Amino acid sequence: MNESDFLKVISPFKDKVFRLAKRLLVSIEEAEDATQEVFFKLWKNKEKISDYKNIEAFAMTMTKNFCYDRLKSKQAGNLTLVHTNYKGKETPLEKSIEYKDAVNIVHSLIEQLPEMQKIIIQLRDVEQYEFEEICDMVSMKPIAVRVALSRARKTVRNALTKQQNYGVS
Amino acid sequence: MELANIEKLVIKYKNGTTSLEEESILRNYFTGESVAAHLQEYVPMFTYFTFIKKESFDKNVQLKIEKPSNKNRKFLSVAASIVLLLTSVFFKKKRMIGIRQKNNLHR
Repeated sequence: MNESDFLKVISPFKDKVFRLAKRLLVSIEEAEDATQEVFFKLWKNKEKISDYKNIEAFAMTMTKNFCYDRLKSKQAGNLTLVHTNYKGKETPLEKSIEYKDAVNIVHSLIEQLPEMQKIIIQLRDVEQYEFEEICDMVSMKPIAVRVALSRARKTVRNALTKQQNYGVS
Repeated sequence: MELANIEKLVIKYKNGTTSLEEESILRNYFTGESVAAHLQEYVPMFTYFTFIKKESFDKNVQLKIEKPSNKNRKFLSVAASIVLLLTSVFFKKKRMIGIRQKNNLHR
């Protein structure tokens, strides 16, 4: 496999790797570094790539593990993640204020979820992976994945209901 | 899609048992124009999921990485050896001058 073949293979899911990294590491720069590192490692192991049943799932697992390690070393260094509003490269300028608010509110609600629930809601509700694929990526049983997903969805939904009822933003 | 059906799907969705097809029905409904008042809280959720999926990695994937830390180390080692060289030259000169002065005194 040469460089351009490899880049072709990864192009359908490189955004997904980036988005998962950003979900966990919050900052755009850190997520970009993580994405770069994951693909560099994957490239170095390219001889084994034909063995991987599903290279995309493998890359997502690598991303999850890499980000976990980064988070661990951050905690060790007493650096805390600052929870902020959604920061993207493209802000929905053309959209209404309510739209922006919705994006920000849901973003911060998901940021407060436990790590595993964050990952699973990202993989399912954003990236729309099948359950079997998610089980592979996070090495969990289907039931455990569904339970975590259900908890994440209910937490976000309940918080949104409360905000709407009290008119708190 | 009728409201009763959506309501059923919403319950399944909360329990984590909807299929991808059912979830796309929900996504279409909640990002659409008319959403039932008692289901409003799902609008921001599905709006967000659709929005965040547009974010992309727009840097080029680098397959030959020069680690910046290695570069720094190289630079440091070069700088250090230059400093060492200069100081040794400096001290040699000083010693030479000292010897010359001694010789002058003896004369």
